Amino acid sequence: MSQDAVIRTAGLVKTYQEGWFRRRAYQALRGVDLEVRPREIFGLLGPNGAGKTTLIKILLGILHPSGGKATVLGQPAGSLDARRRIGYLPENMVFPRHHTGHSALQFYGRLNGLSEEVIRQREPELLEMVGLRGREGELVRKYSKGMRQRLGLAQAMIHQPDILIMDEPTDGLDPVGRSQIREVIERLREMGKTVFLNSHILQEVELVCDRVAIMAKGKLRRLGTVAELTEVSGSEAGALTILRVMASPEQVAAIRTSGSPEAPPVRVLPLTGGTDGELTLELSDGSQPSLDRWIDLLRSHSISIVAVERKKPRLEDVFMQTVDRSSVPESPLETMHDEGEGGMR
Amino acid sequence: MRPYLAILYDAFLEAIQSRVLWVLLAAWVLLLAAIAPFGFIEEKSYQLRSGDILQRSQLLEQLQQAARGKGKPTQLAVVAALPESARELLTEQSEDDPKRFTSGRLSDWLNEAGRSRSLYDPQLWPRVASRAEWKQISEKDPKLRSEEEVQQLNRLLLEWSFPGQLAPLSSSQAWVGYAGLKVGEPLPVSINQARAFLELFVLQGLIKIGLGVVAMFVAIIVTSPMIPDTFQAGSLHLLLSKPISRTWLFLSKFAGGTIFVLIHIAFLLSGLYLIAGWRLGIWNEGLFLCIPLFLFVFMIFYSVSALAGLVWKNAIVSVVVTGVFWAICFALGLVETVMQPIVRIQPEVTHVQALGDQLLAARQDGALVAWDPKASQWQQAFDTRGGNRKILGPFWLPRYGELYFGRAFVAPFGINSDGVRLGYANLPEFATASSSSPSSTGSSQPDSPPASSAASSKPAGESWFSGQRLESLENLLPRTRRAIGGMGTFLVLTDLGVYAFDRSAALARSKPKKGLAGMLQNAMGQLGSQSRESYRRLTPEDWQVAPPADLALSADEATLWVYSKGKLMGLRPEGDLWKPVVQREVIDDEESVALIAASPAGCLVVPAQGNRWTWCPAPKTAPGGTDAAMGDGGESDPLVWNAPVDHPPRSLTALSDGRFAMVDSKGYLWMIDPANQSCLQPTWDIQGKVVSVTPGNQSLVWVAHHIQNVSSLDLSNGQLTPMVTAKPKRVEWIYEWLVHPIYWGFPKPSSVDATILYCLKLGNDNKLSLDPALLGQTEQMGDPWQPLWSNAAFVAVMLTMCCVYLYRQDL
Repeated sequence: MSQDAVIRTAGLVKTYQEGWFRRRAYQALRGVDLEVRPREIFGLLGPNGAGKTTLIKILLGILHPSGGKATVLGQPAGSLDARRRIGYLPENMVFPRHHTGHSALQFYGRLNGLSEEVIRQREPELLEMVGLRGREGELVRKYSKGMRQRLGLAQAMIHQPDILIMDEPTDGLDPVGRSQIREVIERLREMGKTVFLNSHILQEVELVCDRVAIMAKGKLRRLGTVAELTEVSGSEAGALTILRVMASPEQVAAIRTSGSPEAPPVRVLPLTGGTDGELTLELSDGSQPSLDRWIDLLRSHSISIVAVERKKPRLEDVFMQTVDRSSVPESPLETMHDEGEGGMR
Repeated sequence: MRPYLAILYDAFLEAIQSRVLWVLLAAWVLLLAAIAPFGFIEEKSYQLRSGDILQRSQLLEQLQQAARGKGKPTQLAVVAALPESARELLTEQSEDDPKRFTSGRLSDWLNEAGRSRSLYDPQLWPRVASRAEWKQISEKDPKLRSEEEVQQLNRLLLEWSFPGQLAPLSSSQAWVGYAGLKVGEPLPVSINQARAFLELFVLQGLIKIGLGVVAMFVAIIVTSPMIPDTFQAGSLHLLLSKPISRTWLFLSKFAGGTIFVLIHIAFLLSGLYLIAGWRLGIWNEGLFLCIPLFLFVFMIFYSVSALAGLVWKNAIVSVVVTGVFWAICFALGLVETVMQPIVRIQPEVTHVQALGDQLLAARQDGALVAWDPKASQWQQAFDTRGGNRKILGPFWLPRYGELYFGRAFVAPFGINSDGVRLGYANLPEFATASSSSPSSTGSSQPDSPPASSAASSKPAGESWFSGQRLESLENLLPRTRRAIGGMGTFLVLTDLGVYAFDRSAALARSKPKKGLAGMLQNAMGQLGSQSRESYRRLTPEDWQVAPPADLALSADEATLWVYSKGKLMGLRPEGDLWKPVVQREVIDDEESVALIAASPAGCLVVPAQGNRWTWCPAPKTAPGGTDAAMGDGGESDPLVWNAPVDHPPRSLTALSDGRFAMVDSKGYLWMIDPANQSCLQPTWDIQGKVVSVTPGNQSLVWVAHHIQNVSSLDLSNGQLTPMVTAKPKRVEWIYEWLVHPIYWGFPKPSSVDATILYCLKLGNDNKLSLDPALLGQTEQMGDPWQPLWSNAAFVAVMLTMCCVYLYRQDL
């Protein structure tokens, strides 16, 4: 473990209790170990119910962990000292109806303990940064969703926090709105802030995040840069190899059954954009021995190989693969069950 | 603190930007604007009102006779001044027709006569010219008299022509006005008295119902979404991510919610203060104290609403839970309010009467009860209860074996005996029994036979409780203020003077006639006929008494004392009448209520407000002294001293040893020796629970305490002996062991009303008790600040629960 992590969790467990009389428990986090480094843009991915929001709430002190440990900037997660240095943009942020952009910034600034003077100094710069300059006098309830999100970002930054935690910042926004949020995040990167981004929009994460963690079923399944994740995924036979050959499907079928040892699995894809007599083969096992074996077999049957193409996996592929793998229940706590299980809060 | 102040300030911003706030404020403005035109209109008026006709049927009878040329010359002169149509009607119809000859119609006719410039005839009314204050007007040429002078003079002539039939003239009359217009009849009281009434009843009612119920419910509905909305995920998570504690976040939000209500209450009460002061002259600063009190009442309900809002996070559920809480509090409060008077106030023994070995008692609720030793309980002897009544008496006439009592209605400004019948119980088995109270004839009466020892041993049979021996006589005198025993009968103080009950005349009149005459008599009785012949007038006809007033007779029956409007008058008999021989200003404030009691040595005056007591020695002046001689006719000067008593008096009784016993409103008994100006509180364990003191035989005094227990006090040795200890009845048991403990343990938002009332009454204690008889009413006012502590404890518990819930709960 690195010593300078700004967010660190170790064996973090959260179990929800439900029901008035017949208490039932649900384990949302099942031992999460995570480190977020200073000045990085960290993306947390996961399907709905993966435990992402639970993890964020624990980091902010909104929820109490049932087990394990979480620290933020060296302070226990949720402590007043830790919260002073965090800016938070919640999912579906709701501003009180009576606020204007200006009064909302003042209110949240005061909640962060800032003086009137400091708020007055920082407000124009922040409004400029989020593109709301000149609109601060309008009632927030008349803002568009994108404007509200940008105002939410402004309030999260008004006390110049060291860490910004954003929960689905682009959810429900149009492409322009998303682009604006991305720009702000880039500005934050330039300012040297640490951003903890929780999203299920993979393209966003892929575009802005330095490192990504994938959560599923309350556990951290993958962690690394996008390149690392896709690379590792490719080396784990996640990559595909495409062969374009001059042959008929019957010839390919004959090769698959006649070979000894048996040829690696292959899928014949319909022809798209090639010349007549061309066939595209997709090797789901993209390893070099499989490719060599198929080249040998094709050439031994005098079939011409027109092209060989390796296809690199995307983050979405990695995500889907990770989520699919995690869909197999691993413990009784995956599903709702009665209280009485050991280790639950 | 800055973040929490920010939350408070934000709540204020939210409040002033809320449409609901402005809509409600507009509603309050309309309400205040609607009541602002109310005010008082005071005019010098000599008009007769229908209420001034004291004895309608007798007045009509005299008018009818005068219309036929019979009666006194003065009455003939008045009838001659009536309108022609009135004279014809009076001449045509000799019977009483209450629908045709209403009090209103009679007063209209007499008012017509009152405007006549030719009514005054110096020969018919020679007394007018002899009075200095009337001389100037009477000597004027009738044509030169102003309209006001004519009416003023004529009103006097009318009163003198029909003595006892018309209420005495007050200096001015007041009306309730709305935008300068008079509303209804003139007020039966002065403006100051009306102000006191408005201040303590109307204003209090308006505040309690308007603010305490309606506005409070509106406030709960309006503010109930605040806590659930705050603790909704969208806004709460952002707040919780800030460096603030959950507890203080909740408390700040709670305090913020009260800002909305504070604005309303402050606006409404300030408006009421200004309007009440500007329009009605009621400048009651207690209204400002009500602002934090109502805010506190709101906080009680809001704490329940907040907890429900936190748990269920739903404004509707919050309102419903608060409504259920209010309903439970209301129901418990109602049961307590209904049962407490039944158990703790109504059964209070206000007067004890011993007949032989049988004890009778008058109770606070007007019931007359007899002690049943077998059941160890007081049993109802005569069915004398009903409504808001107060019993006058009972007065025991041992020579005849008759027990008299009257039940007057208790009105805000005093007792109202109009239309109330005098009742009596015929108890021949005790006819020769000795009396044990000065309120009875006593052994000093010349016509009282000696006490028979055999009579006292008569058993108290079931007949006591059968209610069979109750008889009904004629009505009490109108405007009866006070009745005391003495002179072998009982004396009645009315606005028209002092009267003694004439038993023989009353019984003769009440003897039922047979046949049609009897039926007619009964019908007349039902219509409220009164007979002044049943009462013998003791004071001169032109000697009137204005309330607040009280009456006392010395034990030697040598001096009759009357207190009226700050003055104490001593009367001595002269021929058939009693005439004033001494008059003293004893209290500066004319409207101050005072209790008086007399011994042969003098009269003690105990004011309801303050502790400046006065002792007036009995006059040495012989009857017949002139007005000028009054006050310095050789009698000793009054002694005035500050008594060490903090609470207003409840009753004052002269004892046989020359001392006086005073029971204060807190239930403490004081023994007073006015000659030494001493006022001592004996160290008995019943102190604080004493409800009344009744003199008994010789040195015996009956002391009622603990609601309905009675002990006897021997003045010769100061020994207190328990005589009667009542066993609790079932309803009392249920109240003491079930209802009251539940009520005690449950939160009581409504009990803050007592504190609010106390604040409204600050500096006004007993001003409204315009009759000494009402001082004896039990006022269930304990420590006025106690409801604040008990309810504050409840609010603290609720808020603690909220904070613990918030701390433990995953949000």
